[in-house]
Amino acid sequence: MILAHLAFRSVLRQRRRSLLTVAVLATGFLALALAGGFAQQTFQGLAEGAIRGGLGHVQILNPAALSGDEAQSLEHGLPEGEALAERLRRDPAVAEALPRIAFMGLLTEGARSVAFLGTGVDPEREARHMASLDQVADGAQAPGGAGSRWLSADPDAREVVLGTGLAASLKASVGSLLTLMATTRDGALNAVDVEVVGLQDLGLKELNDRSLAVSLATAAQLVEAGPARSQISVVLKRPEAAAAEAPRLAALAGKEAAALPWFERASFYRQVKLLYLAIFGFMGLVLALVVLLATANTLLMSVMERVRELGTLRALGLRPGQLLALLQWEGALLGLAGSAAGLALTLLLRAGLNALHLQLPPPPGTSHGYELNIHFVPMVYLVSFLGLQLVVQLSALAPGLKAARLRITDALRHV
Amino acid sequence: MLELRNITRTYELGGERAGVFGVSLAVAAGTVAALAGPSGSGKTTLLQVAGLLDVPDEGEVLLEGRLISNLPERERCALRLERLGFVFQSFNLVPVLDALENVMLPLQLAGRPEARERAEHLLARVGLADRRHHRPGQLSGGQQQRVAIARALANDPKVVLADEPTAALDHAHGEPLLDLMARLARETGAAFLIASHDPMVLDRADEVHRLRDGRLEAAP
Repeated sequence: MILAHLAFRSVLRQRRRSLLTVAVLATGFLALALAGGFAQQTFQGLAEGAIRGGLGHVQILNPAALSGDEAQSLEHGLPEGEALAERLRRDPAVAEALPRIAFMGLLTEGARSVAFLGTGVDPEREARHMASLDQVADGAQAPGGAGSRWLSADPDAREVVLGTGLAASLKASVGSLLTLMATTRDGALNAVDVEVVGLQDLGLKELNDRSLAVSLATAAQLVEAGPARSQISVVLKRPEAAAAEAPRLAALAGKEAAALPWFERASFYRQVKLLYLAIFGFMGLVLALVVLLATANTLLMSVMERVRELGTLRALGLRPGQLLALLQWEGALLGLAGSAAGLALTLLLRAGLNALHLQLPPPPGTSHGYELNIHFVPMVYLVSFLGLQLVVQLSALAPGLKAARLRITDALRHV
Repeated sequence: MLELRNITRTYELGGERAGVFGVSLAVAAGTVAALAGPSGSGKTTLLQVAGLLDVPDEGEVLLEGRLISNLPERERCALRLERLGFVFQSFNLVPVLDALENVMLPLQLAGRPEARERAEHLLARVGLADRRHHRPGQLSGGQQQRVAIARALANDPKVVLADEPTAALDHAHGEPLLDLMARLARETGAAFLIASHDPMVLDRADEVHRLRDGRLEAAP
């Protein structure tokens, strides 16, 4: 402990310089922790968007659906999808199972036709667990969207909710009467007349331009689905257990079904996460370099100013390795002080920024802005601390080696 | 106690070889030996070789009959810590530690649990009990050198090597310091080898070795 004590006193000797180094370290911690909290908010928002956008926590689907497009509707579906959904609902880990029918075709109003991607959903269950109501509320703000509502639970109702872009391209609005045309499971052409009851804003322009939602009953009639469903979105009671529950649910679903956790199906989420991680990684590298140079400079100056003192310590019997350790202690103390100050600053600034309720522009690929809410992520704080400490210890190596290699006789003569 | 046999240690100075050449001497336990000579005569070089701060080009250093000049660095460090004590011309106290902590330093490095008690005892022996919490900058030159002597004696060394210990002090402070060193040599049994050209040192030494141009002069 004598080395730690000596290091502590040495760090306090040049207070102004040590304070400056601590300030650099604190700023590094602050930047990493705030960026990490912001990234966590972004990832969480994207994850929630993907899950509540229709994926659920686990997707049950026919493995063939992963490898190729369908020539006909439900070609790669779950033949007994409705019964499977019932079975899944009885599982203690499952909060809800939402069967869906995916189909595509032409949407016609008079002489105008537009290709669409349709989803047949259970209106009641979907509204309870997915973002449908929010999306319709947003869609109501779009031209032609006034009076928008979600699909009714009545199985005889033939209603459609259109993406805002799709509605615009057809000049359709709430109350418009349209015709859905698609191929049945057998490849025959079929059509159903539907009434537009709402517009929905899915947050992505490409989706808004092509998507529509109808009830399962309407979709089943259009593609003559019978009990077959394209996939089942499973909502878990414990969302964090998605990866762990997927294999068990796959076994429950039988040989002809696969179960994938949501993140394996959310390619947009994965791409944005990779992009953000690359940006934050680069930022972390730059910060690490700044911290490395600042700390190494401080410790090197400290060594240069103490050459005779270090020579005296060696004369008294301190081994070269102990001088190296002394400098490591000095670095460690600077690092600890920097991280402690950084933590205090981060907590203060985070509280201040969150209290401002700042509105941020839409993230890549989405059409909605969002409110800044920097998350408190203990793991990010821990990683920032450990990362900074590692950099500081590395930066103490060169000054430590310089001190350890001093010739005692030269050091004692040093003025 | 300490024996130097045929020590040669040279270095380049202004295009000429300087240092010490074939010096042999011995210092007995409990005595004060002076190493006299003008500046550049090789006193400090010889002291550094004797104190294992430097390695001789030729010759041997023996402590209590044991050859120590050829030991690896780790053992040299241990010997400097536990068997040798140093007093420097400029005191060389650690400025961020107070007097007590400076004396405790070698004791703590040696892992001695009674470091504080022994350091307080040593400071009392050099007459600085009431200054133990003063930092070097708050002490006079004479007081700093007393702290340095207490530090040198911390681990009960067999040999104390002092390089011009009175050079930075006036007569009034130097004389009692030399008396103190002579007294401590007798009381502790340590051999003191003091490099100096100060007549006060030579007057008080039990034995004087005179160096000139790196070579030992024959006794008159």
